[in-house]
Amino acid sequence: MKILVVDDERAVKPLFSQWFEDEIDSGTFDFHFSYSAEEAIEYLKNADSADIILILSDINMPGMNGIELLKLIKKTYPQLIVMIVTAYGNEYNYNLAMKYGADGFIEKPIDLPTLKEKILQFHKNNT
Amino acid sequence: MQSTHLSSLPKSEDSRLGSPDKVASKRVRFYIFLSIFLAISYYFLSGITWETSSFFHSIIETTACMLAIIVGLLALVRYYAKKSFTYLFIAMGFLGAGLLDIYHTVVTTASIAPLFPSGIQPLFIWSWTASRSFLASFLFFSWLFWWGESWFVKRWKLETVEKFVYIISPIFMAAVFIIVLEIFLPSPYFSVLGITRPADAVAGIFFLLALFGYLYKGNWKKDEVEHWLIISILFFIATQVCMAFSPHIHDMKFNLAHFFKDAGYIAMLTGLLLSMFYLFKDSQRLNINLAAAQKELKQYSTNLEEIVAERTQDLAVKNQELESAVQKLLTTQNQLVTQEKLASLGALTAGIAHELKNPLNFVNNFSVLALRNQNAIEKIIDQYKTSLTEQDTASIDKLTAKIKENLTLVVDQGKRADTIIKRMLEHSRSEDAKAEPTDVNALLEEYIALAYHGMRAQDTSFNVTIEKDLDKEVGKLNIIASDISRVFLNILNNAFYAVIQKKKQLGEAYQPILSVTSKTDGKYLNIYIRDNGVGIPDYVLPKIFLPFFTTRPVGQGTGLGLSISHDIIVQEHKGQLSVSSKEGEFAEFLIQLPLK
Repeated sequence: MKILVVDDERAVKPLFSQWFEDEIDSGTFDFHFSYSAEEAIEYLKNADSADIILILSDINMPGMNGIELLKLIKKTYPQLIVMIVTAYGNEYNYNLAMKYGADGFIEKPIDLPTLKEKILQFHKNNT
Repeated sequence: MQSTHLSSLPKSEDSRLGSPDKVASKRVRFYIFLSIFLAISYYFLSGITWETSSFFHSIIETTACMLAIIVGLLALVRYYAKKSFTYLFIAMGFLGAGLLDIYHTVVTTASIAPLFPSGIQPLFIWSWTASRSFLASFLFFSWLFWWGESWFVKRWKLETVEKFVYIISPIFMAAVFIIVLEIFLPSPYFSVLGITRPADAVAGIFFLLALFGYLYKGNWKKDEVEHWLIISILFFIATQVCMAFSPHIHDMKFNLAHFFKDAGYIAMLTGLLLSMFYLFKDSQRLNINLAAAQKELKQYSTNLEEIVAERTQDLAVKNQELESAVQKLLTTQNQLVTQEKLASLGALTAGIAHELKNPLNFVNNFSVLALRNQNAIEKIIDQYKTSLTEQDTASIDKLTAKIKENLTLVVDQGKRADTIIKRMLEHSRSEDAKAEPTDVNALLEEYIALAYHGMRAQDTSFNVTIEKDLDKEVGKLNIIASDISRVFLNILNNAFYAVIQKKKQLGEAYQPILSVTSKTDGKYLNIYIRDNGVGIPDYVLPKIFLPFFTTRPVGQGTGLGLSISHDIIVQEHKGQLSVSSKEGEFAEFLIQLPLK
């Protein structure tokens, strides 16, 4: 299961890589990291991204924000599952995310065990 | 309001005889009529032969003396009242003429005349002429000093002229007395241009000058005295004409001259008396006018007082309105500032809180990872422990334990930080909240239950007796429910916290009680929230509503709860929030919300 993580914080890569070390090693999960929405869009155009299933995106990023990205993805790639991960977990952002078809809304600090469960759930449903 | 009309007062002297123009023309006609009458009298009567005696002359002259003296004295009184050259000269003219007339009467008395050196005729005529000349010249002077008043006033003071007149007149009279007494007087009859007595013609010229002068002066149009003075002068001119053409004493012309002279004196006396009469009448009228004016003035001042009082009242009302408007403006301004402050404080708090979540995300998750890694390392090391010295094993164990302990602390503290941030975010308020009619009692009950169950969720052993006494009259109040509920929650949480603290101290013996009372007093809805917990120390009370002030252990309170509550009640809802407490016994918060 290929997962795209979009976040301007570069520390997400070691965090996710270490947390999901076992899953990555076993080939269950395959993470790709984009550090901006623009980068993510660029990547999605790539042939390499064909097997992406899940996208985890931050909202507050320099340039295009996560909500814009969500809109764009849901329009262009409606089959993709998009989860919003944000430090700004207020009602406003939640409603906005839901309005544009987000499949999940996760607040930072991320409760990684819960996230892991959710992703595995998707994985299960997917296969 | 009443307007004042002074036109209702009695009319002035001017309108007594009609309009001024009418009076003047009437008088002019009278002068003409009198002149014609005198001319006709002279023309017809002078032809008559009527010889009189010295005795008859004495009677006529005695009358003249008395008249002249009275006129002189009255005019003198007028002079002292008015202080004008005119009256000084008129008064002295008549007074002097009167005295000279007395002398004339005396010397012409049949029994006395022989005592004088001159013959009867010169004695008669010169003493007469002295009196006439004196009067004629003084009347002329009286006009002259009016005519050249500005010129005279510049050079002489009135008092100086007065003194001069008072000195000159007696000297002149004394001279006449002495001359008549001591000197043999020449015959006064010497025909010049058919005039038998030219000396009297000269006096006549002075009277004529005075007549023209006074006519020119024009005061006769409105002044009673000067009007009669003109008449008097007309008689005197007639007198002089008669006498100037009189061929000898005691003839008809001589007699006519004497009658006209007396008539002139009477005319002048009439003028003075009439003037006096009108003066008295005017003074009475003025008194009446004055009384009326005073009455109106009094009425007006009373009205004025009323108006002033009314205006003052109006002003006071206006002032009060302005004051309350200003007060309202200030309150609104305060409210706006507070709302802005609250909004920015909320935004700031929210911004910081949200932003802190990003690094916290890594701190918390990496610390968990690190702990997990440490456990993995431990397992690996365990496999090699046999090949290590006992000392190394001990060191590794000790270090491992420390690392794990430290990482556990990092994890715990991270969670704590997360809790703090969440609590701070609870205080960041929704900005578009609006005041709506809300059932305050229902809101209060809802939040009592919420706070209670919140406490129970944290500590299942928590128990408290809740006493509620809610005023059913309260009904719906226009409030921002989300903000007021935050206040309730803050105060209720504090109350529960306080009783929990006390329970910890006293144990089973202590029974926590929370009592909530709502009561309207006509102006405010008063909500009392009272707990029998640990209470608030005196030194804390003044600071209790300050932002970021807290007595809770680190991490258990942000210090914003009561500060924001105070702003919500006082600034946003124009109410009052106060607290009373006794340490160790109770704490009571009073929320006062205005009913309107």
